[in-house]
Amino acid sequence: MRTINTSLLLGMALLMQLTGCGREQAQQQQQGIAETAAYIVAVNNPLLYFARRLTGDDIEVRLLAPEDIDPATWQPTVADVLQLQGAELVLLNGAGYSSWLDKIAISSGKLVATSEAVQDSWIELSDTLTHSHGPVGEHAHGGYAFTTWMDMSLARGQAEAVATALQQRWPRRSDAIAANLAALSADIDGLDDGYRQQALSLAGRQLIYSHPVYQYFQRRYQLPGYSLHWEPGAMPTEQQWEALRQQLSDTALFIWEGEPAAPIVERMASLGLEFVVLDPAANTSGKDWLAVQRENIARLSAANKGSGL
Amino acid sequence: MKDLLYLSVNYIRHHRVKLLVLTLAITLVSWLPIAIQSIVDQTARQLSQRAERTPLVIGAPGSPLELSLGSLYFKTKTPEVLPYAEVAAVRATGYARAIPLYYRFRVQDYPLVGTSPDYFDYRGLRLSSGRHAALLGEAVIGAQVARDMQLTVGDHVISSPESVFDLAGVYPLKMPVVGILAPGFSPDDEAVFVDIKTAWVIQGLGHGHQDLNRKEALGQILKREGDNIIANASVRQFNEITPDNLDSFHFHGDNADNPISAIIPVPADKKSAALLLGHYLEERSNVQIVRSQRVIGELLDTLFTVRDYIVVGIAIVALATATVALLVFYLSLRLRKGERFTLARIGASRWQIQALMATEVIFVLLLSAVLSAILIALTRQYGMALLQQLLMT
Amino acid sequence: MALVLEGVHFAYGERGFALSVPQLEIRPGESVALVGPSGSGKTTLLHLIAGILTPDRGRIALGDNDLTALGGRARRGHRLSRMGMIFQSFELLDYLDVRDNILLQARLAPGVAISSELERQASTVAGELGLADKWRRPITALSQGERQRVAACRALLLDPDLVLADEPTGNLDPANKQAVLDQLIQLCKRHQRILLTVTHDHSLLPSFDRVVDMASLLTAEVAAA
Repeated sequence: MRTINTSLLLGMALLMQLTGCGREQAQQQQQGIAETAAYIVAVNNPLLYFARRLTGDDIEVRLLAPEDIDPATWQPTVADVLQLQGAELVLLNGAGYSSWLDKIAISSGKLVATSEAVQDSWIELSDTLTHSHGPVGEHAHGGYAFTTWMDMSLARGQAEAVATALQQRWPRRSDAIAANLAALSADIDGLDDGYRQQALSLAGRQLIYSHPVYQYFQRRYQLPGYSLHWEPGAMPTEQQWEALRQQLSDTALFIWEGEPAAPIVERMASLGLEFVVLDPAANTSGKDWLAVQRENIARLSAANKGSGL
Repeated sequence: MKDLLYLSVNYIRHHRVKLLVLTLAITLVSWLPIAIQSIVDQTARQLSQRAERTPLVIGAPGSPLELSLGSLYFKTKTPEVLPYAEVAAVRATGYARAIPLYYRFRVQDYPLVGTSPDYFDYRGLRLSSGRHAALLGEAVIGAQVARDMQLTVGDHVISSPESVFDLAGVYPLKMPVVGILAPGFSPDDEAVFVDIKTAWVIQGLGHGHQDLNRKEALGQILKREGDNIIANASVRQFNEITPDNLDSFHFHGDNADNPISAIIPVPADKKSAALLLGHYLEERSNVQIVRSQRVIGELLDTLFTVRDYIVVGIAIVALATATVALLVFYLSLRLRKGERFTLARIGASRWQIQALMATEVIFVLLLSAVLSAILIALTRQYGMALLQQLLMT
Repeated sequence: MALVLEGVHFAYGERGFALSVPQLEIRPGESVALVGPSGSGKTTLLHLIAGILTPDRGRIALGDNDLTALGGRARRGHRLSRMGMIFQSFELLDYLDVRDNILLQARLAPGVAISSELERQASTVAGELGLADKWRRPITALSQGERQRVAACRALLLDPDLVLADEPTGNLDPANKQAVLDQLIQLCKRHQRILLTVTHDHSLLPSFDRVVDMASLLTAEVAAA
């Protein structure tokens, strides 16, 4: 009898061990985490601005890239990804912007490709490297120019796409968003007019762009030119200056992304080269995107007026 | 009474083997039908609960049962695939959110499920430790997987090749475990979750490798045709995605063309669900939408029928056992005739003799009943978990 | 305490077998052998005295107790506490060991508790019958002679007034026969117990105080009639 009892107890103990006592834990875990306030993430400054204008600051809109980093080259950390996952919407620029998208876990339903509607207008880059190895065959790591918002008609399209996404997510705010969109569109149209006017004055001048980020601007406002890879804060080499000097014509106007450093300004003056800052405002700089664009137009206007041509 | 009990205990001890065998036989036949009933009922409840919570599933045309079992329980051998573009198509109907599932690969015996972060919200899955997968190549594992493989956050899991002879490029991928789910007593406990794109990397649809423009890669470049570099197959493919090589990972072609196994649509309300169902039933022929409850219901009907057959079978066995037990008791009483005679001649009363004879039967029946009751209680409590454990190992 | 039978008559209705004992008296401490051919009613007489069977008429008394006047339950109780029974086939329970077989009758007897005192007595009796080293052995491990000694211990444990033995040596080899019987007679004599033994074995008769032939009992009845 005693042996039977012992083996029975042993058997029961084994069963307990095998199955564990997880049920209670599970119930504890079921009590959810406090719901955090809804927020939106925008991947660059123009989208941040559009979303803020459209939501009327009712919903928090975040830009995760730090101010001193170009959102185009920014890569999210794990903490950033968790923030992205928690966002109600993630406003993407499209055209190959945010290449990190393929490397993070995110629900595609949150993603708003703001320039997808105008995908036909994307400008494909020519200097693409293709390679092949293994069973997959040839594949390209190419892409598109992505500074779409420097074409104000595309910027307006992106603003509309943001508005549509917001309306779908918060249908009850639809009317307010529509009203905000009308005002925002008018402002963007104003920028478009402004750039167009200045472009008329610039027609015929030789334009040199500090970086290849003006493809859409050039196309929209018919201001062709060639692009360097100069940083406003880094003094170009003598070779680069020499190469530039050989290219220069009398009508040359150098277009900087940002305010160049003083030595560069001096060097340009010594070459008799006029320059103007045309800030794409991809990141925030204390001013909102619209203000920066208006300043761009004002600077272009000043350059046009100041020019002796 | 005490003395009679003493004698009975001695009798039982003397005949313990015979009585124990008899007791176990009776215990088994009384426990089995109830255990089977209980486990089948629990299985049915679990199966139908999940089907109730996930009433619709979208997948490639084929067996609706296969699709339901795959998408709800990750139990399928060769899932059909549909393009990832269908996720956007579901969303484009405006009726539902869409959660992709790709459950083609495995980590040892556990299904590896590629999905999106929505899935965890949808299932109400909480983490017991760590965090959700954020980067390509990170894995979140179910509670059971963690327990069985003794994994904690920071350990790694390695995807299993589809077969030993699979040379076509499904490389084992070493994935860090970044989170462990709290037990939910569902198939999610036994799965390894990764982002859908990580599953594509395992399939070879995306990869990371040495930068072919760098010097170290020179030996592997076969030729350079303008911008096109052709390299040999020895170009080092990374089998683990780390912060250092994450940048080199890329996908070829459009993600929209990449495969998934199923989509869980999450309609906002019943009306949207009905509209979605109608849309897919009427307008889409290259994908199927399945009503899980209906499919699982049919499966359960089969299960219940099988259970009934088994229970009837066991009832017959029980009858046979009861007959044998009767025979054993009868023979035993016959064998104890001499004992009864002795007791009577010494002076034992009829009551004393009958009580002594009855204790044998009472003991066997009582012990069987107690054992059976304990087994039934244990089955109710732990049967499912134990069965799943047994099926897994 | 003397055993007295007077005018006892018993008949098996169907078989037409009848037994009549007009007079029999056995004194305390007396050992009596009951002999007679098979079917002469020796065992029947023993069962009548034990109270297993009830006579149709007549009186059986042990000392002042008229057994024929007792009801079934009282008679059983009397048998358990005042008599010891020894059978040819030992009638031991093979699921009990030597000790528990010796204590069996005590367990069944009303008003008897298995005390350590009783156990000591049992072990003393067992020692007297040469079973001291077999105390916790299973019955099946004992020889025939040892088994009958265990049966004798069981019969003697409660210090009965009367020991009834039905062919107690019938299954024993010659050497054991005499030894067991001598021990039994000796123990009964020492405690002034009556020993009434049914036997076929004439070689054993000299050991008894008196031999009663069934035929003479019946004759006596005829004479009385």
